Amino acid sequence: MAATAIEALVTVLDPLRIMYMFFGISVGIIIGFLPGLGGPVGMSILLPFIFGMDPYTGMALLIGMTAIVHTGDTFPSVLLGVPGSSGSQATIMDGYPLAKKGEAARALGAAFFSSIIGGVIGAIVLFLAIPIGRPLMQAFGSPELFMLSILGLSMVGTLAGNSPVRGILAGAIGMLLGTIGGAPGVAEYRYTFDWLYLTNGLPLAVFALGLFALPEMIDLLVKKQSISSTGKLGGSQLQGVKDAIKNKWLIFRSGVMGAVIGFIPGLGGSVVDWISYGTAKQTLKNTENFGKGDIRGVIAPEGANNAKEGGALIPTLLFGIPGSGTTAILLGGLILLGVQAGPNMLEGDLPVTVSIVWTLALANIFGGIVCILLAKQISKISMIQADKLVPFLIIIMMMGAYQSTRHWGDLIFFIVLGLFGWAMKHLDWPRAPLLVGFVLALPSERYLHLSMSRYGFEWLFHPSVLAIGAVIILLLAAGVYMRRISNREMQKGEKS
Amino acid sequence: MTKSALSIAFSAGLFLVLIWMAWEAANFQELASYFPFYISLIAIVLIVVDLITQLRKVRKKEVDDKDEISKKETGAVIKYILWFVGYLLMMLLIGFLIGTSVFLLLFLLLETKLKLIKAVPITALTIAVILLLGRIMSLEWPSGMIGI
Amino acid sequence: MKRKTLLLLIGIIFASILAACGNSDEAAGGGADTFYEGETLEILIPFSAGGGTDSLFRYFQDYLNEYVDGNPSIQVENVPGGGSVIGANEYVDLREPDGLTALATSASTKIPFLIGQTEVTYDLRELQPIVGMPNGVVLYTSPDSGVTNGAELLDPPQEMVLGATSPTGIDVMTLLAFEVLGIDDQVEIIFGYEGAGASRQAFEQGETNLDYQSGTSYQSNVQPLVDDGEAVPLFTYGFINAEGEIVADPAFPDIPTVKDVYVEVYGEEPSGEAWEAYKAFVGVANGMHKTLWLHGDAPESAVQALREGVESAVADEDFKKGADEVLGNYDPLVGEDLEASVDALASIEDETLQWVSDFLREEYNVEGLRE
Repeated sequence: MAATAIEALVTVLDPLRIMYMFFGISVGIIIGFLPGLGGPVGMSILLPFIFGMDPYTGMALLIGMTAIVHTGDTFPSVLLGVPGSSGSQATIMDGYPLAKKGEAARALGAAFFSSIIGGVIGAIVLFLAIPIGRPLMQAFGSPELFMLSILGLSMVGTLAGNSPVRGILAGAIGMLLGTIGGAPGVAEYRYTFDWLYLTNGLPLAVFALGLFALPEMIDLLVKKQSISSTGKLGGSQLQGVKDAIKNKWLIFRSGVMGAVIGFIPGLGGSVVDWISYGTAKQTLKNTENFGKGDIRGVIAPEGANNAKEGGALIPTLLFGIPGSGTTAILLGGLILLGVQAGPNMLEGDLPVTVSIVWTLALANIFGGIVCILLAKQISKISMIQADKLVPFLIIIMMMGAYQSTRHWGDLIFFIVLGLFGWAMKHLDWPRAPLLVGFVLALPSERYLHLSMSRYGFEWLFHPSVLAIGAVIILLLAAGVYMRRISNREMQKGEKS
Repeated sequence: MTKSALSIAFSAGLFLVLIWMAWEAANFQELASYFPFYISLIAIVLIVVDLITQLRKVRKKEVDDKDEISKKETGAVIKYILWFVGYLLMMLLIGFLIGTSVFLLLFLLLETKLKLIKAVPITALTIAVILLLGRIMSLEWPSGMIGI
Repeated sequence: MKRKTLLLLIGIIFASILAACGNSDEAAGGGADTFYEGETLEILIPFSAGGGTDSLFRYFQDYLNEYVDGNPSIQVENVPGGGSVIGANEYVDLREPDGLTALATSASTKIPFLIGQTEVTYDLRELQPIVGMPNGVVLYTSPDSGVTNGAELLDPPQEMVLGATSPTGIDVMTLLAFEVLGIDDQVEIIFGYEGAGASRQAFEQGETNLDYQSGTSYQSNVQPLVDDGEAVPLFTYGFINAEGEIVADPAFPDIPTVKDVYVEVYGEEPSGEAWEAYKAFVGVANGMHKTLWLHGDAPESAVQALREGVESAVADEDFKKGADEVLGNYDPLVGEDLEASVDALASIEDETLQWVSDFLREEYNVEGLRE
């Protein structure tokens, strides 16, 4: 194993391949930076280029891009309050307030550093999983997957801010919106009004962009400000990096969590960042400032969402089962390179697998450094006046939204959801639970249905199910306990 | 127009939509109906709780001064919403490229208050960049009714 | 200073991207009457990038450009949605039948047509196939089930559980096979898995003990399990020969077909409406699993040029070497074989298709099919 690892490293460090990796990294940063475009778009762009390449070079290109999309998507999340891709929504919660306070560079510094570490952790997890991956995957049957989606849903409570009733309501409404389209396992199309566009449900990019991005655009124009309300660009990347290092345990934990959750296909990698954010909020001390600009609220999701790519590659490479849109296209790319995902990745093609691990780690490091260097320059966007900035942003967002399925519906729902999101924002409804409910609706329904069909009620007593259930209850209890303590602290503070 | 009034109207609207969703769900095939039906029921219960909470607050006059929304702000909000909706409609009618050009030009002139001599080249440059990006990334534009 | 380096970097990146894109237009050469001279052929793929169909036809791009008379430049356009129905609908409804746009379909595009989903506006019998990539299907079980051959499914020692996706997709072939063999009561079919990959995973986990995979997937993913003694093949769904009868799967000649199992159990050849429907499905979904089409009223010279070009392309040594991953051990259908498939497709009777719609509606509560 060690011999293969070193050999693969030498192969990866070939100057031509490094160049392709950087090419992939640049594409990844641009894709991440443009809201609404995500990994799948980047993949489709690079796919035509890999014809005739050997697997190592092709992977350098594709993995280079995949690794960095979740680093680059931090730019719009922090600077504009707009999700750069579906993995970066939770970063907005604290990243954007920091930018508004004029500390965009600090948030970015912390985020990029966490992304680097998180990405490397993802690569390490992938490496460790190589010998144990296949038996590990057998452990996650439908009941276990259902419990995990419940875990994700339970995060809804922590994201509800001050109004649990509205938080759960938002989650429920999000789930109902998620049921639009084809039902799992039954030939029934729900709430589609016989419109072919809706048979696949609402696209996630459109949903997230509309819900979070459009309301910000409207508000910026109305307030006639720039995003950084102080008009100055305070904070420095260095300080952000220092903050991240101070919280190294948090980064490590988020990275591991991200890789583990990314490993489970079908759960929707888009909730990794929320779960990391929610768990951090539940279990750290002094989290009253989460949502208002706590740097840890940036570190947690960013550490997780880069690690998730490493985790998602485990089922993709070892089983040929893609965990996300990006990995699905990656599979196609592998086929074009003459590599068949599956058991062979551990035998004949082991060098390719290990080179993927190296590329993932290196790309994260290089790409993260590039982003840190660029951070200060790009942060200046937060100083541009709204009426100059917003029209261009709207155009980019419309373009991004349309690429989802390239039908009218994309644009129409972008605007409709945007208006709904705006109303929610101003009437004090939390939007994050809406998104989590939306993403987890179909997986939770599917796995519940499969569990019941296959096992009746007996699956409730599977040991792994009970274990995950215990974790959910623990996290919820921890959250309630923490809130009680912080309420008591606040009251004490008010009295004195 | 008070914020509380709008908020109550919003919740009431949601209530009606949820009732409709529950009713639709009841008509789905058995397996496909459980999930949406029970979730809408839970949601309906909660929204009623929410409405009652809000109504009680109003009755007890726990509402504070920040509740009144200024006409000026409302006007601004509606204006910008109309800009975006208008952009969408234009795109649907005359296609992305022309629609975007018109939208950008008008917005820069009327809202950003740029002079014509600055607005036109900026719009042209933006369209050029869009075309370039579109070719490189094989993106696609919606063509309007007139098919551009 | 930093800003300048940044701009320089961006400039270099853009320039290289453009350069790479620039050489996709080839200069045309050839005779005066070639249809595709100086033209671009667009292949509409009703799936998103990266799937099996997409990978296959992207692989074709350079070879088509080289071997089709007139060397057209080939462009791939993805139009995903509605389970590939949206893209296929768009092809027949909105694209000009001028021979410059082709449609790529997979089995999942053909099934909605065959079962009569009302959203479908395309009729495969009206399109002209250019090349078909066959792919078989193999049903296999776990050794724990105690079933070692297809005939034993009629009276299995254990409960048989099959993981499936939906009664409106490729699973329909399995439903028909079970109907023909008379084993639909003995197998519990659990719908809802997210595709063949997920149902295979469920099999490996022991959640189900019966599964089926396409021939190519079986070769790469299930064969190792069989070799390790963790899976037992039961039967293949077979292929249709020139006489319209079910014959053995060329990639798995040693595994019995559905027909062999039927004969073993019932002592006679299968017949009847279910059997006719099954054969129709096998012919279309297996024989021409992935197909490239032109419009029905596309110019004859275009159809000719494309068919000849494809025939040469698939004979190319490099193509064959690289195509192994995507095609498995199946040979593409060109020339006479393609003709035979076209005839088989055209001879599918409306009554047979109606029978399938009724069958699915009555037995599996599928709605939205033709009445």
